Amino acid sequence: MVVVGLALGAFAAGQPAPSRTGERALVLQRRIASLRAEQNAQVDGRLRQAELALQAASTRQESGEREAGERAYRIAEASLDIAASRIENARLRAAIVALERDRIQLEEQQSVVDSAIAAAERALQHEPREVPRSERSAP
Amino acid sequence: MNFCLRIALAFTLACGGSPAGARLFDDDAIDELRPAAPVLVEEAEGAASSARDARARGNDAVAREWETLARLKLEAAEAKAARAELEARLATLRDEVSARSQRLAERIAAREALVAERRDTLVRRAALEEAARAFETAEGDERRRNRRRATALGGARLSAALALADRAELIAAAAVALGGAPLPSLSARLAQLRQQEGAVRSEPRGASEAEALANAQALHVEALQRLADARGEASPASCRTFIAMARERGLEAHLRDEGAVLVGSDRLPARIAVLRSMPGPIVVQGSLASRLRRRLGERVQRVGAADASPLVLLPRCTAPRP
Repeated sequence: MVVVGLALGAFAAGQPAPSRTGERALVLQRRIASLRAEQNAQVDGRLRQAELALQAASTRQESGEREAGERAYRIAEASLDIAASRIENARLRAAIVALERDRIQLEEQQSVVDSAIAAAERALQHEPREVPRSERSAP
Repeated sequence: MNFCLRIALAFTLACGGSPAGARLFDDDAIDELRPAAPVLVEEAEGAASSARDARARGNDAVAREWETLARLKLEAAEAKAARAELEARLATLRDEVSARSQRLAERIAAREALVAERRDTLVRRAALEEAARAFETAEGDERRRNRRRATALGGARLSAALALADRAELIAAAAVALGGAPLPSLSARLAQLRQQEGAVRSEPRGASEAEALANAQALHVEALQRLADARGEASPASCRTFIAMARERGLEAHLRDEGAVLVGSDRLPARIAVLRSMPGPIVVQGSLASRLRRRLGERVQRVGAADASPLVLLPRCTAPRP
């Protein structure tokens, strides 16, 4: 059903845009443009849904259907909230992956350093001890 | 707005609408999301309530839009909760990575300290070993230098002794060829000298070398004496050789009509071998006479006063006539 809705929406998107948009609609349009610039394919559907809802809201507002327009605005805003959260979550996951990688590298480096320290300590233990001059016996 | 757009918007806004009476949310899921996103959960519940009211009024299209909004709010709440979890995980990881970085830096510093300590130990040991090697080398060089010095000195004395012995052997042979008497036990004395030479070379000893050289010199002098006796007369060539030999030994020597003249000098008795090589009488004037007579026997003839200037004349050694 979502697919059918989006397909019809895509067909309708080619039609002329509403002539007047309110300040709320402008804010939503800017949010849509900003989130689309992120080029995250996972949120394309939500952005498309927000666009259609925004168009419906404008249409309804123009035709005097205030309550219906308000519902459409709220649907557009909720869609954009979801898209923004997903984008932010994707950023967080990428940061987590990078940090996980750093942590693994640190673990590996730590292991190497620990081995080197153990080897150096063993080598020092096996070095022949230098006899202090005071302990040397007279010839 | 055209008809198509209206249909599309209606489908989009009302998509996912649930049948009448069906529950929109799982209560347990709502309770889990509420702490992380209380406002969104409340808005979702409000939308669901409006959907139920609209459905109760028989307005299904409006009800589906409210249900859609309720689901979107719930999804936003889920995203927000996930974000909170991710942020917490990120913060934990940052702390962990920071702590590990600090720990790693400390361990690297510890490793560098150990490596430096070991390097210092190795350097100290290498320096000690190098010093010990240098000391051993110097000690060996010193031993070899001493041995070389002793061998060189001994070698020079031995070479001189052998050269004198060889020359004595030739001179003695020449004396015999001129009708003179052979040197007594010449072969035995030469053999003894060569044995001495071999012994000294295997174990250098200053006393043995000096003894070998003295023996060789004595043999050489005796051979010269025999040759002089056998000649009876000195040839011009031997006279010139005699003058040259005397001058080489620091004596003042001249070849005159009356014979070879050595101007008296305290050096003469010490260089008696020069006189032994010449035949005939030796005429001595001055204080040298008695000393030379003790060494050369009856050949020495004293002339003049004892306090006259020392002078030695070999009358049989005359200058060649031009």
